[in-house]
Amino acid sequence: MKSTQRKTLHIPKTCMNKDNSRSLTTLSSECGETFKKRIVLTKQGDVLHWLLVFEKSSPKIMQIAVTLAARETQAHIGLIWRGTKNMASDINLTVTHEAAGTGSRMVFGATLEGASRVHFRGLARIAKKAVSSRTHCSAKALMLSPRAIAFLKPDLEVATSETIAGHGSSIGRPGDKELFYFTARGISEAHAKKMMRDAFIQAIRNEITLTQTL
Amino acid sequence: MKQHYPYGFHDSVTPLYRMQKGLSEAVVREISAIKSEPQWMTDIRVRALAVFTKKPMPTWGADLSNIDFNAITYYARASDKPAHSWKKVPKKIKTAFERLGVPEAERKFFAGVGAQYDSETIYHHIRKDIEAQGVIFTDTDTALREHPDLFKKYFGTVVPIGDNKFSALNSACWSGGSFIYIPKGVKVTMPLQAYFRINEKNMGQFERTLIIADEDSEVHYIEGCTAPVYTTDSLHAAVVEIIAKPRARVRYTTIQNWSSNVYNLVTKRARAEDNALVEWIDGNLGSKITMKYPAVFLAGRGARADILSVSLAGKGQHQDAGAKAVHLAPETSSSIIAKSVSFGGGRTSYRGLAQVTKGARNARVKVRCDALVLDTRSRSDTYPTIKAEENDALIEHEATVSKISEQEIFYLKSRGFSETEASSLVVSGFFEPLAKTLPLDYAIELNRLIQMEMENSAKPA
Repeated sequence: MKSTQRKTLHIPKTCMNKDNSRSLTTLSSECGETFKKRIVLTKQGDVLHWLLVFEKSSPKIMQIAVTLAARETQAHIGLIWRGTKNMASDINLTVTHEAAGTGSRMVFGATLEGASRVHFRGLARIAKKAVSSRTHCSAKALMLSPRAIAFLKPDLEVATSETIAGHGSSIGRPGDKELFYFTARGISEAHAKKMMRDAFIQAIRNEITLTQTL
Repeated sequence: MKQHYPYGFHDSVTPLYRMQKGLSEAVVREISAIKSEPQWMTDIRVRALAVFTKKPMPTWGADLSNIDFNAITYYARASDKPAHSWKKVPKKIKTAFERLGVPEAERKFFAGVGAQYDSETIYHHIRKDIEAQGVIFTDTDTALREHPDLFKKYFGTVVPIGDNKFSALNSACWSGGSFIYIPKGVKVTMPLQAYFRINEKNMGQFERTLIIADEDSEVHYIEGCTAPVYTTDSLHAAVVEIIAKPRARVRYTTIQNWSSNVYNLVTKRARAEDNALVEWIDGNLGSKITMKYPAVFLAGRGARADILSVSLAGKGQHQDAGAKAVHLAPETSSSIIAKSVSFGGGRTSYRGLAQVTKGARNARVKVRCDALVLDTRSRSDTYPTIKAEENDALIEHEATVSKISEQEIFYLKSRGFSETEASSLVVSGFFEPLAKTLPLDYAIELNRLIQMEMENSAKPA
């Protein structure tokens, strides 16, 4: 069987939706060696959906900060990092909840091939006055090469009790059971791994693009 | 400051010898001279002092800027030598330990007990039948004198002097602590206990504990600690090193209940060899600031680590605790469970590391952190670090921070409990994994302490 083509993400780069929500997409081709971006949501009820996709190349240093400054604002940030060859990135993603009733969701997914290396720090900071806020950070890395290195730091700083905060992270390789399932159906191991990698990325994408509200 | 800290009493014991406040090479050499140590140990102390002086204060964790190293007494002894029977312990010190329940607990639960008062061990005893099996359980100073080869072979091998600023301080000023050697195949079924008490004002306690569990052996060590309540601060900077040889099992339990004027900055680390199991059970209830991250270096194939870290932070307290598991060998596994509760303006932080290094094939790591924040004045932080250098490692981490469940409180209140009682019960339930590992009386005492802390926090400031 021929190998599957890499799927291109067809999402408009910037799109203001009717329901006060804004969708952003950032691709690796738009970024240089360093990528720094800060977004502040200042209008009550604003919702940000931001998908960042890095493949083939990526900035060495990324500093992304989102501040939820107005009540009931939300940020859904998905970061897909598809590491190949010697790709290396140091990513800092910070979401600060400054107002009450705010929500955030950070989803980081990395697949690591070759000698790629990723260092991800996702920090959710909930200020004292950001009561009734919710946040969740998920960081996952799929290790596809013995030379790859993943470093995940999903941090939480919570300064109030009126909140629900959580994070989860995992690092692993494609499961033996799943590989067996594919190979038992005549699909080569290399091809099965590619399919699993694409499914892993698709799941991350879905998690962020299909989540409407918290 | 806590008003109902039951162990905050001060004994009118005048030390036999107390050094001038402040730290210098002369102080370090004097400690070594008092103990008539061999030259190699004096050299280590002097080298460690240089490292301590050179290393900057850590700024990544709790606020340590108020520690005044010149205001601390680095050595004070209350008795001449460790006694092997409570009858021979000076009366006032014995009374203090009786108030803490140590002799009674020894009769009930323990195969051996050590008690340290300020800088020196004042009591050490091990059951004859355990000793007859070749088990060594003594204070660290005695071990250096009586078992020099064993001591030199392992001292500083797990926590080198330059590891961090406070391990360097400990290496320079260490005094007291426990030394345990369990011979091959010996299983000590009853726990060994050490109790650490600071009595002097502005005291620095720097005990050094070294545990060597030889092949196929088993041991459980429990330590407790308390201090009087003063308006000025004391410092506790201990170092614990554990060497678990192939197939050995070591469980190390700490119930830290220092008074709210103690900085508790401790380095605890174990090396687990082939198929060994090291368990850290770390309960942090007291102190002003705690920074403690028990670690296991899984150096042998199939080694395992189980770490349970529990913290309770009330008014004016910052419990910066966590755990580290470093996988250096194949087929190793570790499990870290961290639970924390902050209330009354307290702050808890989980800081952890799960690392799989090159060559540690098929490593398995599971980390779970749960935090309860009971009021809007309190704070909880989680800083886990996960690093994988092997593609077949499986690492999972999960954390939640939430407030106490209103449903649970409502359920308990509707059955006649007050708000505080209900909160205490929920918190005690939250800490159940810790209580389950303790002897029954200790578990009851733990629940009583939690209840007292919660009642105290409920009172108006």
